[in-house]
Amino acid sequence: MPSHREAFILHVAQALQEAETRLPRDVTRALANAAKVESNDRAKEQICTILENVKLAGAAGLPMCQDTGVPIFFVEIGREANIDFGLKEALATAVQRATDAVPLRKHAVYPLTRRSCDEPLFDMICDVSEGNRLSVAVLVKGAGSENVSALAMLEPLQDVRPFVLNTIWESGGKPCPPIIVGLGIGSTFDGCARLAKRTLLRSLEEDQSPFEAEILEQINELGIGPMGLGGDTTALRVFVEEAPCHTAMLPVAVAVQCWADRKARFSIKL
Amino acid sequence: MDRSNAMPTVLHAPISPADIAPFKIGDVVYISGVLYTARDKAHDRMLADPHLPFSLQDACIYHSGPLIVKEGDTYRVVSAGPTTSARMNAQTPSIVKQGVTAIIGKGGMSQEVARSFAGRCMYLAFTGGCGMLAREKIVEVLDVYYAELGATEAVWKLKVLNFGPLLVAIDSRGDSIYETVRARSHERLLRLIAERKRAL
Repeated sequence: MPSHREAFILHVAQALQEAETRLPRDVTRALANAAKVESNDRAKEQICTILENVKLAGAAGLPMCQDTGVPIFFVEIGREANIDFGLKEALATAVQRATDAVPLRKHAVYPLTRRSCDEPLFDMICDVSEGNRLSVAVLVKGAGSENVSALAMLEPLQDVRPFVLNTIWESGGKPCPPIIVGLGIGSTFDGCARLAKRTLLRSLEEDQSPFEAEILEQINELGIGPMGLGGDTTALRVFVEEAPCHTAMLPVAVAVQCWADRKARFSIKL
Repeated sequence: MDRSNAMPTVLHAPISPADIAPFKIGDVVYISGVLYTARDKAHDRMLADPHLPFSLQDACIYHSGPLIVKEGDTYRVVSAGPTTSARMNAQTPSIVKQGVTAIIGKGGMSQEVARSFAGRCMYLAFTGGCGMLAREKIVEVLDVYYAELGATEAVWKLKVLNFGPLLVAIDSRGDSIYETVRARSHERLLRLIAERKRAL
């Protein structure tokens, strides 16, 4: 029987290409709605320019943003899935192929020397589930929004809101608002960051919890606006994910995503 | 003045300090002519280079790490939107001293940068993430400098036509939309936190 490796690589490269070139419909609709209700003309123009850019990218099949970012793969492995190849190696090959084919920007460097690095750049988070499917969701994160994301180990009884709001205020126009904000609350130091990032895979059209709605309203009350130029629309959506934590801890992570909320997924039976 | 029905203003780069003087924050302009892309490493190189291979006098700097691929002997611009300008805050006053009159980027720059403009430079905001829109306005890749920094960090000399829309976000007097928004949003932040404390 032939290996599943080649089919997997093809799917991953396709998903990455789709994410980089087509903004998901939930995000496009949220931007279009924001343009409709925005009371600040300058802000409205910024959102309309974004929508025009999205249209151009979709039509040309080219990256909407030159910062083609870092793909983060959320891999879910069904425990009965027959994976007869190296996952990490296959992901690297897929990223390399998409980089050449789409094309994507080669901007990987070694962190201390800052010298160019030729290896494909990506992150991988694996989970095991039931069944025989191998499911992959890819989230593309640019540097502008990743650079303003933040994590704090708060005092156990501290209110999380000031940290969240201050993080967004500090970031101003840098992460390319309108942003999407993922909050991971609880778990551990690294656990809350993973929780926060994973929320960014959710649809902007899912029902909001009262807590998510409250934080979204407060963020938008800041008036930072699209590109930090002022306006009602600073964030399109806030997602919150909680996990139990140690009684002496309160880890909180704020994962910020730019308007170019690039995400795609696929699932194959193995 | 009502600019809503006016023809869009097109500036021709290189741009003289006299040409930028009339513009105030909130104005929208387009640029035709020559832009030089530069980000973190390129700024350090330009400032350390005693023999700059191009002139910064009246030059227009574009904060961008374009996605450009080489095809045979020519370069193809794939996507070329602006990068976060704040990363270049520290080097910018020195760049302005060398004669740069317009800086295009996204996300804004510091008050120190705004003060350094002193009648001879302005900051133009191009909508972040709009790499395809920028691509449409780039006519030709004229040259590349410091290529050893890698394609993203190199300085690309680009010929552009009606590049924009660009919003005058920091004018030559140092007035800054970002500063106004930042101050107002900070007041709101403090109020929200205070309200929260009272509620607890």
